[in-house]
Amino acid sequence: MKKLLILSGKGGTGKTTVAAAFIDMLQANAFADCDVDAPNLHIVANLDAVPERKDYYGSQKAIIDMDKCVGCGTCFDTCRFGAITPCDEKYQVDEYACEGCSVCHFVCPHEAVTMVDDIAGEQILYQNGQVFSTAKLKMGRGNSGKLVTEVKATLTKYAQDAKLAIIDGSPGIGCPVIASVTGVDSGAHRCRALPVRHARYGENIRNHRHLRRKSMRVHQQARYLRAAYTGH
Amino acid sequence: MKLAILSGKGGTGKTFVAVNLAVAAGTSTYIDCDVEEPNGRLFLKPEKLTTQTVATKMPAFDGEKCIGCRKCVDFCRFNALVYIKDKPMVFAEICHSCGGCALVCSAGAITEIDKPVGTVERGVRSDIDVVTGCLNLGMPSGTPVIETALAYIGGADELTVIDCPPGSSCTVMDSVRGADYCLLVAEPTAFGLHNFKMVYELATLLGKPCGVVINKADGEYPALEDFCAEHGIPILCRIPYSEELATLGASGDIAVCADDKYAKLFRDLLTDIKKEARA
Repeated sequence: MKKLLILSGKGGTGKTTVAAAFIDMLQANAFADCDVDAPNLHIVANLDAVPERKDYYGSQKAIIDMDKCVGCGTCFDTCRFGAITPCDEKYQVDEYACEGCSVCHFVCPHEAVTMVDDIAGEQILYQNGQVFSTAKLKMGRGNSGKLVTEVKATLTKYAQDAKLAIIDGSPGIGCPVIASVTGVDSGAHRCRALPVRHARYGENIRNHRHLRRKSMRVHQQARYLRAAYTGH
Repeated sequence: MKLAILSGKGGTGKTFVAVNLAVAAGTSTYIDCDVEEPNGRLFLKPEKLTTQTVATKMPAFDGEKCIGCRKCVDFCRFNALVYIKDKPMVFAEICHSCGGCALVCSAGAITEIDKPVGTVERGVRSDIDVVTGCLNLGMPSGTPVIETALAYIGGADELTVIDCPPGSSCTVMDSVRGADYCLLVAEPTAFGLHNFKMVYELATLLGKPCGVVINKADGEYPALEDFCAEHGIPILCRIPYSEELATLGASGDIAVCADDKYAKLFRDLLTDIKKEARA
């Protein structure tokens, strides 16, 4: 499968519009929306199939058992994300700030902290002759690079026979974009990135060139790791 | 007053509105929290720039002390550590800087070193302090850069405009958390409305008072107006979809400086926001 990825850096330059036009013009049978933070491709994709929906679990979140907490503040002192907040001389976890690192769970001398699974969004798959993989991150959740990877993996899994896949990228230059750009781990797959141009924002496009190089580096690291594990 | 400018969808005109409000206010602080694509500085062209590096921590391993117990690798929730060729190794891009690996290492083989994740650039344009957060490419979280940038919020009597990232994820929440009022910039399109609803939900969740600016207002789009009416969100201003504004924007000029009618539009908007925020 060849993958065509639409990127822009700046928002609102027309990634989704270009993606939708390509899907229509090329009669693409496989497409995905990797802008999981603000997905829009489903609005123009016009698929009448009823989608399959699946909860997406991101990183776990810490919960403090108020009966066990003695208010010693060890977790508060150790948390790097400001996710532990004082509450009635004890402490509680701010679910939006918690990154699920489990350091509080490790340091608590009273075993008052448990790590629980957290639904961070929803993966949505349409199958109607065409395969359309998309997702929606829950409000205020981070970690969307992982969800982007899931969206692409789902597309690859359900559209194995498709020759071409169109992928609508997310804006920016952060982790979700790296996840969008990073190719699949087999030499048979190729990923081509197409930045949408905008008069004023050449800077963003230059960033994407760096990003492609960087994603290739991540790719090489993955290969190196696989070689080290499997011995070839 | 701390005013957050939000939109959900990208390209609706957050930076356009934020920059023009900052200029219309005369004395103000403009903070660009869209750290992945900070564009406000392209318009404000701040001078006397100083740059500060934002760093978080990441582990460094002492091969002599490491006993190969792999506790650090097993502890890491982000899979940022691997044990390879009899030694641990870190993937800096994936490391979330939680410090857990150093805590669990019983051999004292891990020290933490600085990992630069971005910069905060400060400059001035007449009476406007311009603060720009810039994330390094591919970093897992913009939060540390946003927090550093937000440390430069101006005094309570003065206007601080916070230009937020698009979307409704945790970086948006970080940017909005300290704000007194949220100004939502909406575009009268199906895409615009869809993402507007998401960001409105986020502002409501945080209990922030909201108002709407409809940008690129081109004819009627009842779905957006109906949604605002239904939820009691005041529409403070409609900015026309005009070639003049598009040309000004594309060449990096500021509408308020270019034409008195825009200066009046944004001054009036600012007055309305202050009125709404007090209510």
